[in-house]
Amino acid sequence: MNTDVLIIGSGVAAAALASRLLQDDPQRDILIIEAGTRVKMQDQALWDDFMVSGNAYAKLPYYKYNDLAYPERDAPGENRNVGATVVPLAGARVMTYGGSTIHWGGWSFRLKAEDFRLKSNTGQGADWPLDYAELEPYYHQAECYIGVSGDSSDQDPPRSADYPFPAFPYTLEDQPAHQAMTALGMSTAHVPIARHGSTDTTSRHAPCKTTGTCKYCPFGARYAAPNYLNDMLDWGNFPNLRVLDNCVVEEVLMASKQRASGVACLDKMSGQRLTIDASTVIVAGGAIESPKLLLRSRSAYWPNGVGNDHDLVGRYFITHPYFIFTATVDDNPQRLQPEMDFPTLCSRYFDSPQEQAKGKFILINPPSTYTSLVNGKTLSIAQMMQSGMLRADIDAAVRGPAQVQIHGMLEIPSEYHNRVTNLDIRNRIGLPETIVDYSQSPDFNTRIQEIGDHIAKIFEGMGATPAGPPSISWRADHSACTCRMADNAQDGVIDKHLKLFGVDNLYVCSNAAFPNTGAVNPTLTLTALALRLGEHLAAAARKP
Amino acid sequence: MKTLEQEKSELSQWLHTAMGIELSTIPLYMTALISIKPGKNRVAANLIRSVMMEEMLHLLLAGNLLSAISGRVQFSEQNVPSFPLTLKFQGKQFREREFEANLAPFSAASIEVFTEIELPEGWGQPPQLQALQEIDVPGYTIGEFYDALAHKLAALCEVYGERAVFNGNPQHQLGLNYYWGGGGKPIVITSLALAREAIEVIVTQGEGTRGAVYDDDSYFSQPEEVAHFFRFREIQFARHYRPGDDPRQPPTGAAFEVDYVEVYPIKANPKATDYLGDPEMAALNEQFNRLYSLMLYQIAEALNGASGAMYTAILNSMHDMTGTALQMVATPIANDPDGHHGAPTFEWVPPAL
Amino acid sequence: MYQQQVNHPANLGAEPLATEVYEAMYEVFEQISTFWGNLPAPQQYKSRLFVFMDNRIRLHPEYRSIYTQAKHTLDALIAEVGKAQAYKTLFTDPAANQSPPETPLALARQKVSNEFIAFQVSQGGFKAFTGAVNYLSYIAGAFIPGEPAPYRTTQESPR
Repeated sequence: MNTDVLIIGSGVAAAALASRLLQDDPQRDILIIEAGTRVKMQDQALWDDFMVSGNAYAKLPYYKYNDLAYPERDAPGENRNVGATVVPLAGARVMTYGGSTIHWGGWSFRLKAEDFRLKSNTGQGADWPLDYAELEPYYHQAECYIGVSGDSSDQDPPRSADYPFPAFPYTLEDQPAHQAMTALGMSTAHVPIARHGSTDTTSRHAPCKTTGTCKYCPFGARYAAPNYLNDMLDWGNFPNLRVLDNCVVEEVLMASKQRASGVACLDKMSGQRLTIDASTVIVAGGAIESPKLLLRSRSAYWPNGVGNDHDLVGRYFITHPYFIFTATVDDNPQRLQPEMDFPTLCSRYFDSPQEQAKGKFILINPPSTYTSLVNGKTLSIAQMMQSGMLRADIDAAVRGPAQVQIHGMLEIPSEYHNRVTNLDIRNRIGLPETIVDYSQSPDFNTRIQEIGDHIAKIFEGMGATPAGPPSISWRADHSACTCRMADNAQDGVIDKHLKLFGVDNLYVCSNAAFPNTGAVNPTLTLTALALRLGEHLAAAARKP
Repeated sequence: MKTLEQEKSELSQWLHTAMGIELSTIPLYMTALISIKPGKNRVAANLIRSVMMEEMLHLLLAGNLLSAISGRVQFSEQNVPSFPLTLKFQGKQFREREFEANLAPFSAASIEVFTEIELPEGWGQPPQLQALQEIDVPGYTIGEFYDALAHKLAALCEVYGERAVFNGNPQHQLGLNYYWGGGGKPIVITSLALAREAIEVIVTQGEGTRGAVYDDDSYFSQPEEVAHFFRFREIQFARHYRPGDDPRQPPTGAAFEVDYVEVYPIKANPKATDYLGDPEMAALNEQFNRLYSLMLYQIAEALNGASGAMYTAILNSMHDMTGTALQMVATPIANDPDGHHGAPTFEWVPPAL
Repeated sequence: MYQQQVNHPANLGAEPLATEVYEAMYEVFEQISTFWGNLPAPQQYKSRLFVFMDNRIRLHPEYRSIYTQAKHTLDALIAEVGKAQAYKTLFTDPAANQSPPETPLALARQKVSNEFIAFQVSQGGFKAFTGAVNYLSYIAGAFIPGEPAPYRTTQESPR
């Protein structure tokens, strides 16, 4: 089998990149290889199953394509966590056709200008080999590709063109936090969210109808790469676009030190080993699998794995610690209730140059805030009825105590000793398992304490009483930096065009490419990089 | 002298006919669309699909018109179209539809029939595809039919006032939330002006304005869309129109591939009885017809005040109808002497209610 | 690619649910709306309830038996204590809500009544309690600039 462009992985990076290449040349020969399998989207029976469970993640049809938890005494589990900090992989990603945008929340933030200069500004982490201005036009293209609803008047960071869809107004449930933040002098903003809106342009993608079951949207209104791949394959006029699922790439094959010839892979359905030749190979397997693939692509040319002569592949692993602060209010006269399944209000006040040295953070007002408490337990309306509460009891409960929360993410500068590597055991998907080695820095707890002090003031402004310490999750959803960009091969694995140093035709298009990921979700930035890479490769193909 | 209620009762029949006109095109276009092999004829497939989506809007608009005058939308075995299709009104065939339209695979012949279905007013003499039975007085053209409908509404408003004519509950109409994926927008009709606007959308999206190539639907910014008639002409000429083209001349825009060979050999005008010797095909067909009938039932429910039923009609029926149909067309009918593949029969199955 | 509708293999060739079972289950739905007084005109949801039931069976064939069994359980209970008390027991008996269900009543409560509650609330039953416009799993509609938002908004929000 052979192809012109081979993309390993079928997530948003692959979909955006393929779409950009095909925009330039609809006849282009593109093969996307995916280790996982396809999930039926927008099925009403599967939706009903999810809905009756109260939106339980374990009832989603793609739950089985998550990692298992780390091994425990009585549960064999998957993967290994060898560092001082537990970084769960279970729930962090979905190994399936379309990748993790099948389950993402769609929060589509841009990095800010100072994020591209982290090392210059603070001495920690690394700088990007490009700046915000250079990436800005691609951010706009990414917002149009994904379909982001946002506030076009928000110039922090600055933007050259409007969002494709207007921002969702703040909810009534946002009001207490909004007032409290404003009174404290904290700026507030609309969360840019990947939901199609209503415009005059005809689109096969339905506008969001605020159903509130985002993780299995019945309309396909939240960007999910499987839907976009299906759309390209079903309705696009791309005769040479192929997707090969259930096929695990074992290694990248090299024709010489500086030229990749293709890949060796295992077709799970037939059990056959295949060699696929390609002119250009793009590794788009996510920040966990991309470095692992390079590491196990060993040859005489690259004894430590392709691109790994300087022992940088898989290193500098970071993720965002996600914190949840909880408080209670004694009464709820407005009968506030969760009405939406995505957040509308956030504050990037602490996502600023002033906070960069200590670690920027962003605050999110979660849509689950103001859930009623009945005997100390959070219950939805359905759960109240299901538990046998009478009408009068429910009427009282919705005016009574409620749980409020503020969520957020903290920026972590990357460090050399934190890394991911291969474990020589296959998981249920057929991929080698992962060894995660991450240890948080000593100042982390101090930083969380400071954040807690700010949150306490917000809760006070809301008339809410803090309920215990925050929950902190190091879950690897936003893992990044494991094949980072740099100006030279001593400092990074790939150059500013995502091309491996020392190899002419091998690229990494993944969160792995980021030198740092600021305080915000990486997907919009990844999409911008993918579209930029697509433009770059398309231009190269046009040259005689 | 008829009462307003009697006049409205008569108009109800007109509007049920309008719904029938719009509804009947959908199985025709869908069958041609799904017969195309996956990945082939994508430009033509997208054109047919876009027309089909707009017919659904027309169906919705016709339903809104009926609800607007307090009529009651209903689908049953009696008014669900059957194929081969002969459209009649007041006992007579529509003048430019004096032919039978068939559920048939994508072909030059079927596209020709589609152009005749969407024929603009005054374009020319349609060919006689079937000998006419004796007709003393010719039937309407579709354009004349909609014109007459608009005039009747205007005349009633003159006599009784708009409020008495358009006294339907607006909750019995479907607004902006219930249509997407195609050109145009739903209109909730509460006045004569809005009724005229709705009729105008139906006519101009289908036929265009006096032979103009681009429909002047101001909803579109880009890409500009041509009227249905001309979209089918694009398929016939395997070439797009561009601004400035003379509608009477072939299009001069970009060419695209049309391959009538890359089509499944589906059986034309299939009936459930054709699958008696193939239980698996019969089961698929039954599943399709159940979903189709339930979809129509729930559209009617939505137009009688249960708006949320429209979401179920779309999410539960439409999406899975396509999947079922695609499986049928890719599969030969067991023991079929001509090697035909299956195709949905679009027959009414009473919902379990 | 269009994937086939999910349908459990055990459903192939299976008998459709009996009409009287459908009707009995509709009565449960009606009684939910009456008991909590939170959803007027339940008749308009009948076709959607039956779609919901068919979808449960499509994914989990045991629901065919569960719905049939629930009708028998309720018939017996109604014969014993009368309709009002029977439904009150179904909706409020604490033992019946202990999971996993090990009695016919518990099965009816957890697999039928509680699921119908989730369905009912997702069709709009939440509104009567809270004045909210939207709820997780309820389709309130799109945000269309110029129209009221499909959820309660803060007065401070610029439009």
